[in-house]
Parts: sequence; structure tokens; C-alpha cells
Amino acid sequence: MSAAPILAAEQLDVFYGGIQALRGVSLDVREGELVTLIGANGAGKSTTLKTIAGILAPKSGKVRFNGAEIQGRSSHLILRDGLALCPEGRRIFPNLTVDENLDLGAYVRHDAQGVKDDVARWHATFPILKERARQLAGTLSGGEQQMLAIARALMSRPKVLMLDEPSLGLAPKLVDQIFAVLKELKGRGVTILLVEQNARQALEVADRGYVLETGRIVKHGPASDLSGDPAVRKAYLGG
Amino acid sequence: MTDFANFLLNGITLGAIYALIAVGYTMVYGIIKLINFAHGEFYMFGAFVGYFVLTGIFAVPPQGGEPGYLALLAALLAAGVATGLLAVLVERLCYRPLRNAGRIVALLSALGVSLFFQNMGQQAVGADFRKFPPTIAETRYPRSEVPLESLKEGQVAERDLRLTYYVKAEDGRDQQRVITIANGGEAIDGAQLATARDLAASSTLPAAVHAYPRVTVSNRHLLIFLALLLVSAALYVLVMRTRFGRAMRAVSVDFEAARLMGINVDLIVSGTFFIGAFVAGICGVLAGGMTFERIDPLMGLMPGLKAFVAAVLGGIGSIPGALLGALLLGVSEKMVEAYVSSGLRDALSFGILILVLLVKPSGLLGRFEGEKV
Repeated sequence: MSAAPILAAEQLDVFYGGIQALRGVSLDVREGELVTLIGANGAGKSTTLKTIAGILAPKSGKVRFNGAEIQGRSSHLILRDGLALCPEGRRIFPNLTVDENLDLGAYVRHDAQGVKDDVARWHATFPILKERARQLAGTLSGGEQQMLAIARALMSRPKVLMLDEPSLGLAPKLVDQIFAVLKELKGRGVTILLVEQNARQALEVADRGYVLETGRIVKHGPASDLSGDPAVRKAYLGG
Repeated sequence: MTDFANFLLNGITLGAIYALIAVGYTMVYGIIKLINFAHGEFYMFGAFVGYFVLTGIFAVPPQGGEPGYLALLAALLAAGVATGLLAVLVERLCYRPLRNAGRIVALLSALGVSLFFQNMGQQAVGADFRKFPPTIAETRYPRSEVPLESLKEGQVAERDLRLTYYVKAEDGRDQQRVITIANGGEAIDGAQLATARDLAASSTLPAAVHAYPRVTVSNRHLLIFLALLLVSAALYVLVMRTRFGRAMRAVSVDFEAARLMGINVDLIVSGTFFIGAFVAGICGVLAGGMTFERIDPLMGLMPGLKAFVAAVLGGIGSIPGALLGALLLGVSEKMVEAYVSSGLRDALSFGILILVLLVKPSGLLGRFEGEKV
């Protein structure tokens, strides 16, 4: 725990109208780490990621990324800073082809050859995307769309990738595949902040974890400690 | 049969005019789901910009100046750019602040903008019609030249024979005039032939007699077709083949996800307004000005509504749909006008609107999305 974190949220308070969704949420991610944020439905996990990504503005609190304060910045500028969010529900562009989706992921890049190389790289990682390269993305299955969403988010070569519920709504076999991909990305040195309802598998791949309950961080620590914590086991890991 | 061919040709021309307006409607709808009722006023604004460029910078007298293609090109460019910038401003001031206020609110704002420009226009330039300068000499095609000397009194003309000659206009430029010597199937009248010879002799540029078939098309109409072809091709390339077009398509389905790609959504929306209004402004000069020949601050109302019907008929949000819908509407209107009653023309158009909304709200080529929650 030597270097300063590349990404840190400090005391975030976020409201939807009059309802407070986050209460003093703080967390940090260091370069190369895979950090997971777990919690029940409605605990504020997605809200946390959306706030960091600039989709929501915090009422108070700070987000530091790569040495700069970024709270309140537009989300398209935050992506340009090097912080990508792969949103919940995949949000691929169904009216564009698979490759056009990938190209849009690299919208902010101007190195045509590098983009081409990256497309080839993600084609190799996810062969199904290569097979369906010219197909409309809306025709892909849920699992394929999730692969596309992850690859698309990585096309900008972000310094940190945030993933919101990548396993949501997928068949168990596909969930395993998604987590295998996350493990592989981690192996390649990609820094990841992962939000998951599937706490067991999330803690298996993560270095550290945060537990969010009704808008507050109630526990954090190394992933293995959290997996062993009786309260966490009872609430999120099914006993 | 000849009549039918002429009606069809006129219908296609009218359809092409509607199409040039409708693409802007449909592009803006496609991207922010707003029916921009002020779009017809962009068409009007473009016509006036063209008018002032021609009468001001090129000093063309509105009654009969034909400064030619270079002046026309300048007028078109000025109209396109000025109208595009106006649309960017309108979006920034009147629509963007309402983007999260709901679609009805933005629609009401658009109606307000439309009325604002109609009334401000009347205040600024007066409510009266103005004659738009012809700008380019009219030529009808196809035609073939016939030597004037070969024509004899009493001879039956196979085709329409017309003399094209030139006089000095008040601005000192040579201005083209055309008189008919004889219509096809008629015998040539001696007095008319003598007049033609006199006019040819006094013509300031070489005069010529041409024979025309019963179905001809004007170079002004050809210009509109050309503009539509260029616009369609350019839009296809822009939307399907460029980075901007990919971003447009992304923004049209999901603002938030587009931002997460680093796309500056506001910039894409501004760009879309600019392009749609650029085309409407050009159309204002080509159609409102040069084809209908008179302009006034309310001239955008009816073509704007018709283009809206065309966009709905084709499937609002779809560019190919707008082109198809506009051509169908233009031809239907001319056919009803010719074979049923000219009074029913507008009733037909708005009847089509109601019918499409009742029976197939997605239009011919659109995908129905329903209300977004």
C-alpha cells in the first residue's frame, strides 16, 4: 500500500431529489488493483460508479483521479481523462454494428493503427465479436453484448475501468466466463473497480472489497478477509 | 399521357423540395426526439439571406436580374451557413435548457420559436411578398436548335418553337427573354414570325430558336434534383461512414452511453441542427426563391408542415424515410391537384398525416419506439 491511489472517492453525498442515496462514501483504488464494491440491491453501488463517472453530481465530497479533482466534470471529459465506465445493462448501441461499437469505444483516440490493433486484440479475446463483427449489436445475445460492452469500454485504453454489474441477468455459465475475463484483464495489469451483486465470485477475483449498505460503506478490507467475515458471509454469500 | 408526365415531373420537383426540408426535421427528431416546428422558419430565413445577398452584394434588381451561377452559389452558401448558425443558436437558447423538461415542453418551445420568427420577420422586413430575382436564366430541356431562317409562314410546327433572345436589363446585364413562335401542331403565324425576326435581330447576345417536346424540365428544377442528390449522398456518407455520423447514431439511441464513450453530446446535437438547417436554408433559396419566385416571412409555414407530414409518412427519424415520404407526398399532391381538385391538395396531405398516425405511426421505413420512459 505504498503509492497514492489512482482513483479515490472522498465523503460522497449524493441525492436523488430529496432522497439521499450515498452518505459519506469513501473508497480508493490503486494502480493494478481489482477492487470490488458489493452490496444489496439499492445499496448505492451503481450510484457510486455513476457519481465517479460524472453522470451524477455529488452534493458534497470529492473524486480524485490521477492527481486531479474530477467531481462535477462532464462524463465525456472524465472518459478523456482515462476513467471508463462499462454501465449497468450493457448499454451497447443496438443500431450500430459490433465493430462500430468498438470504434466508438475509441472515439477519443486518434491513432488509427492503434485502434485497429486493439480491435484485433479484443477480437482475439472474444472470438464471438470477430465472428459477428459486421452484425448489428442489437442482435447479439445478452452474454455477447456484455463481452462487447467490456471490450468497448477498454477501447479507450482507460487507466481505470469501472464495471457496473457485468454478470447481471446472465446464465451461470456466462457469469463464469465474465469472471474469467475479469481475471484475465487483471492479469494484464488493468486497474478495475467492480460493482457486483454476485459477491462470492467478485470477492474471489478481487484484491480488496468495500461493502455498501443503504448508502454507507460499512466494511472494507482485503477480499479474503471479507470472504471470511461472518457478517458478510451471512448477508451476501448465503451463509 | 403528356399531361400525366408533366404532373409527375412537377410532383417529383415538389417532392424534392419537401425532401430537402424534411431531412432536417427527421435528423433533429432522430437525435433529440424533438419535432422542431421552427424548421419551416429556417427555410424562410435561408430564402431571405439568399435574397439579401443577391440584391445587396450582387446588386441584382429583384424584378429581373440573372447574375448567373456564381452569384447563385454565393447566395446558397451564405443562406446555408447563416441558417445553420441560427439553428445552432436556437437549439442552444430554446431547446437545450429544456432537454430534461420533457418532450411536450420542448415541443411548445419549438412552436413558440416558429411564431417568434414569423412575427419578428414581419416586423423586420415587412409582411408583403417580395419578388425573388430569377438569378439564373431559365432553360428547358430537352431542346434542339432550329435555324430561324428555315421557318416559313404557314408551315406546321412539329414541336413547340420558341425564340430565346436577350435585352439589356436595368442593371446593365444581358437578360434572357423567351417568346413562343408556334406551339406544336400549329401553323406558324406570319406576324409572330416577323416579330421573332425583329427580336432576334435586336438581341444583345446571339438569339436562337429551339424546338421543345411536350414534356420538358427546367434547369431550375434540375438544380433542385441535383441538390437533393448531393444532399442525400453527402448525408449517407456522413451518417454511415464518418466518426461524426457514428457518434450521431450513438447519441440518437443513448445520450448517457454516448457520453461514456467520450462523445460531446452537445456538440453532436449542435452539429445536427446545423446540417439540417443548412439544407433547409439552401432549399429556401432554390425552392422558395427561385421556383416559387416570391418570398415573405410566412412562407415557411406550409412547406414546413408538409415536410413534417413527409417525415412522418416516411418514418420520423429515418433519413431515407423522409426522402421517400417527401417524394410520395409531392407526387400525390400534384396528382390530386390535377385530377381531383386543387382545393383538396392540402386536405390530402394532412389526411395522410392523420391516417399514418392512426394506422402506422412508425411510417413507411421507421421503427416505432414508443414513448421512452
